[in-house]
Amino acid sequence: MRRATLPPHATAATPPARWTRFASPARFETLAASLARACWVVALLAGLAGLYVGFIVAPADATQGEVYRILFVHVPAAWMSMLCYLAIAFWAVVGWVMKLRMASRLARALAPSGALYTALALWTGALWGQPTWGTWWVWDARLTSELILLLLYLGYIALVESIDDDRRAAQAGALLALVGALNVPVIYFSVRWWNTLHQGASISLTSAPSMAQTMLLALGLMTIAFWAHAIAATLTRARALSWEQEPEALVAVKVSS
Amino acid sequence: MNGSTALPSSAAAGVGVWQRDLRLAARRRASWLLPLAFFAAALSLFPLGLGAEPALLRRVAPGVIWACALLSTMLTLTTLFDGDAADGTLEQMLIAQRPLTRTVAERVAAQWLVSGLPLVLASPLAGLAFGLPVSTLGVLVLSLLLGTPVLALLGGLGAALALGLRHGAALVVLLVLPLALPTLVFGSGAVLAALNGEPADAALSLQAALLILTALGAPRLTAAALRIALA
Amino acid sequence: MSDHSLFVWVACAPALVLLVVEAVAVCLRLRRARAAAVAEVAKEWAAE
Repeated sequence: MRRATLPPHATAATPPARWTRFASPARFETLAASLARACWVVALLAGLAGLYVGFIVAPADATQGEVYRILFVHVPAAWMSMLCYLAIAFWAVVGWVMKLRMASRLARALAPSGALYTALALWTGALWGQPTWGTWWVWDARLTSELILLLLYLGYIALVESIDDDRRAAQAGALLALVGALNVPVIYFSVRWWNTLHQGASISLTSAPSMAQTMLLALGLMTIAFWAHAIAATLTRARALSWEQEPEALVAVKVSS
Repeated sequence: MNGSTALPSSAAAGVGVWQRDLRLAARRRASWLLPLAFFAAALSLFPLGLGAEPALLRRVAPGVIWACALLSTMLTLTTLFDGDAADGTLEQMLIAQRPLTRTVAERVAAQWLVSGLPLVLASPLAGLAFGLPVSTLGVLVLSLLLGTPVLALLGGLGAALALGLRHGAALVVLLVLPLALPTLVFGSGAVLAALNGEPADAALSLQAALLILTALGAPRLTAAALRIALA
Repeated sequence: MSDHSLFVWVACAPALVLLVVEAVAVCLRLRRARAAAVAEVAKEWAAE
């Protein structure tokens, strides 16, 4: 029986207010359902507001003109890509050490979203560089690090999807995510070092312009939108994984409710 | 199989793993010739693809030689534990008195001696083929000497994680490549510095640091990965 | 610099579209998984 090892009183009528009680698929299901729904709404509203302020209200930049507006998508996407990877490592280790399958499932649910944000950051980053430098890709430290991050994501997803046994997949994924997370500072340092080494050919991606109030507001709104999107998508995917892997635990609740 | 029994004593088993691996390698010439042949084949792609202009080849030499060394090391490491998993030796290793970390470290070290060290020794030839000045060859050899063990250690970790999976080889390369990038960057950077007449100490020291860190961490993590794969 | 605003749209529009597509896809996956699980368990109960 590969259930999460909850203390016996956790399944009683009045469980203690410990966060680990959400490790039970049934309780997670109800919490995730309402939380995800709220986050979808937040994502939509904040996103629309952010896009409006960023693309229509905010003024054009003195040096970069209209092109800088790409950062309203690029920057939040890049931030989420890194946050999601750290979250994967965190939940994966929690799941491995505390033997909570729901935590490992959460880590696995984060990966596709994180990979998408990384890809979007690369896409928007490349297109931001094009009008300024005339090339479709810029091997600067930040974009190259994002590319390597994408490879780390793809490796994690490939490994976890290739293993049929859920427990081995979760544990192997956790180890890989941990190794990757520990390596990220080393990789980032080596990419920066590499960038300064090739001084002659080094160009750095256009940096953000000095931000007017409206620009900051738009960036803040888009960041909130991306956060909400990430949380909602991850929770929904985690729910789907629960239904796919442990349906018996959930159907009983659904039928009885 | 070999001389070591199911629960050997620590010292005897250690020698047993080394001896067995090296004896097998000596017997099967392919195990050390193949990486070397792959190395040569991969290297020759570049002049054929880029054109044989000497100045160009000299400039790309550090990166190209390093990349080919990385790929040919990966090639042999993807199946590091497959044979043992198939014939049951791996389970024996797990339950043996001998700490699994040590067995893994020795297995990886033996594999490096067989597939990594020949590359290091052949690298001056590669350097000359690409027109590197003789003064840089020392740095080239040293950087590969420090770097290929890191590749071997990481490859072992990848092989353990992906043990027995479909598309195992490609999966291992995908897993290991991002982790191996720092050593690639520092290694080729060292040779590039030497090529430009600058001191290569910084890059080589970074490589040495990386080697120490990896040697301390990777075998333990690889042992954990093996336990996960077989549990 | 007028054609650069085109860049902004080419960059951002696919990104936003993909985010919406991901949201829809993940919700559909949940629905499918739930339906499949319920059907599976219902089949087992019917067999008893």
